[in-house]
Amino acid sequence: MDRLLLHIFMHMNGQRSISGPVHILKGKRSSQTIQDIHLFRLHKWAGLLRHTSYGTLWEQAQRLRDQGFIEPISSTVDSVTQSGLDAESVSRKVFENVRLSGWKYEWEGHTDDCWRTLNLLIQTASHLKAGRKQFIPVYADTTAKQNVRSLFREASAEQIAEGLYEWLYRELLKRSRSDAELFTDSLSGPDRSGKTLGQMTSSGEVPFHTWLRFRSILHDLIESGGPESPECLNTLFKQWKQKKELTRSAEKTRELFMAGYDLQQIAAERRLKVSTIEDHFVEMAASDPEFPVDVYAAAELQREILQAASTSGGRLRDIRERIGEKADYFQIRLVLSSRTGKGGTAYL
Amino acid sequence: MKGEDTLAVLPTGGGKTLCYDLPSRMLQGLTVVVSPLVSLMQDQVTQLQSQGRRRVESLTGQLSFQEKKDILYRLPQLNMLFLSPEMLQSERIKERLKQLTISLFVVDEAHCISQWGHEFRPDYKSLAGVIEELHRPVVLALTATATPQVEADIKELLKLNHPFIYRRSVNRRNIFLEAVKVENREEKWERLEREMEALPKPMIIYTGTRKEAEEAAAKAGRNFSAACYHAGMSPEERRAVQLQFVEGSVSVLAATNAFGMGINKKDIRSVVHLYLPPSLEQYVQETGRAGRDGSDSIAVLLAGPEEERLQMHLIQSALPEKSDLFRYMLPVFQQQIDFPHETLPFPEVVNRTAEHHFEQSGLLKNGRFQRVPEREDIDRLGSIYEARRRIKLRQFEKMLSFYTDTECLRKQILRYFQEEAEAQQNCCSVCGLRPEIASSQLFFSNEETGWENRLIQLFYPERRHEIT
Repeated sequence: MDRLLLHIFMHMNGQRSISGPVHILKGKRSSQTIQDIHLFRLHKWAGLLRHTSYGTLWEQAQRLRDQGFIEPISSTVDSVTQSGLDAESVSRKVFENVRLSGWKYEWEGHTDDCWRTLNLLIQTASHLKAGRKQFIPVYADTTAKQNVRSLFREASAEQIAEGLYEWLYRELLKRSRSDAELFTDSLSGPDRSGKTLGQMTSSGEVPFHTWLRFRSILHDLIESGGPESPECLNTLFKQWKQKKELTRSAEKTRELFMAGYDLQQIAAERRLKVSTIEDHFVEMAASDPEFPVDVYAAAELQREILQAASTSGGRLRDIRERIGEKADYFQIRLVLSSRTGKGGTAYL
Repeated sequence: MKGEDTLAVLPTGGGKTLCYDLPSRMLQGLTVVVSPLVSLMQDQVTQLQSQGRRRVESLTGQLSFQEKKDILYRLPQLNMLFLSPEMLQSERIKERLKQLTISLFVVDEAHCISQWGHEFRPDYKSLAGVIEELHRPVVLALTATATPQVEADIKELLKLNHPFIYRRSVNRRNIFLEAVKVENREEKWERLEREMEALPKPMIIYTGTRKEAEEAAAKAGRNFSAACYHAGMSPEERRAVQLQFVEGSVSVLAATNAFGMGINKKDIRSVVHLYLPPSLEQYVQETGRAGRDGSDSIAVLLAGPEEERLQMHLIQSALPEKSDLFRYMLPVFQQQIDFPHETLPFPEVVNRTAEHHFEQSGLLKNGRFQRVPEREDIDRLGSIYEARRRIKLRQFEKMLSFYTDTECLRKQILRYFQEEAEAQQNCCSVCGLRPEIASSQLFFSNEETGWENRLIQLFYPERRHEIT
């Protein structure tokens, strides 16, 4: 795991301390981290280790220091040493070759939702088809249980099994044999329950790399969701691919934004007016509690806008008059929509 | 069923859930089940739901606000509700429950009410009051182990009304008991390696630490299919390992005491202890997981001075000293008007003991201090922890004499629970030699070759004969 920190760190052009990659992997909701993800194109890794405790992550960072792979230049900048460069080159290929979409599917926890739902769904369908109505379920949280329950309300075990079989067969066929087996070995049926990742690590492979491969399979499975996947899963895939409902045009903007384009670039790319893209951003901020509002309006400014909004009845022109030149209409709308949207956002 | 309060002491397994599941289906109204083990409770609910019991839910602190609200909303339609004890401190929840007819109030793990029990939960002491508030439904108290002293406490503190007492013996005649005193760590592990070969499977190895569980699993893994289980693993991994052990694809499980509650596997043939449990109650519960099918089984305890020191240390450090209270608790109390759960550096059970104590003494009302706590208040609280620690130490002494004495092991256990001992064949390592015990029939996985076949097997299990 420390090697991954090092690998990501190498992409940050010597402008950050080792806490940069730590926050990216942990998925910290701060403008700095979100900017870094876009600036250094680290979407692949964003939020990937959200379940790993900060304690463990800092330990890994410390290991890099202890091994002499990085050294501090100042309190905010670390640099990679020669032995660090050598160490990084050893596992670079693994990290480069594994296909991941952290920003899209880990940042908001969709991969976990997807895996837990699929795991329980497959176990349930398999048992029911084998005529077994009672079994100890695999681990699933409330969301996954509810998903599975409502799926069985809409479709029979036969329909679900058939849809899943065809889809998974097609998807796994695209992968290496060892990837496909990694996935099927983790599934549970009446004849045999799933293995843990630790039990599936093939000899010679670092367990963490096995885990990355597994996440990669899941990301690709979510990505494949759509017309090709079983019909009964359509609603869920829509949720996992984008939790929030956006207009189709805003969704395109969102995809570019996720790919690291900024507002101006999106407008240029889509040949649309900047104000249209701004509208999309406002829409995104309203529907996505994780939208990085503070990239566009500093926390202090957000506070002022909200303050002004509460004393002026929320009319844009009034707010603008109170705030003056410090904020434009886009910033005001963005801040207000992020607060009025479902869930709001951490603006303080 | 006749509307009498009941206290049932049912050692290990054997349909504890059935005791209230059956009546709850036949009775009108709601069955409320209070249990301290949140994760176990959720498993029970899942299991009942998977048996088609849709009107069963659980209400615990782990749920989100919305989830709690949904369940409270559905309350009138429910047939059975599992609750953690602290949920019953909430006025809102009590109000909702009062409006319903509660036909049965079940107190699971009822020994938690007694400070003489091996697990003591201060929240349990308020249950009698809650039961009263809920228009005094019939009470069913359940526990796996209770000495007569604990039994008396349960009756008194739950205010049971001339209860019908059902008690099954703690004696498990089909389990051969063995205690081996080792000199040191090396000897313990050397002995374990031999026992792993010699003892029948499936086998549980109980260890004192997570690290030991991992080590033991790694050792066992050389010759057997083995896995480890401890609270440091993700819930997902733990469930996966549990499933593997229950189905039989894992035959040796090395675990900390996090494993066992609510696990229903009947054919476990041996239980090995690499640590000293803090009490005979716990030891009996853990060894009792062997041989639930009634066939011969064996329990082997391997321990020595190092294991004694480890457990002693755990007992000593589990509860704060008075000096800790003065240093960490008093300053916080003097600054805050609400009982500060989050800011105290103590385990939750310590905090709840303090909270409960202050509620009782009137210093705290609805989570608010009525006046600023003083040194004497903290001192009195400290004495409670001290008394509790003394009780725990005494319980551990029983455990120590159990494995070092030269008296029949079974006799010692039965005396502790004040039961009559009866001579039997294949009793214990003091009375005689270890009998020959065969492993249960082990699981043979038809390892399919290739993911393609595995997929067919998962989604078309009825077609399995077609796979070649």
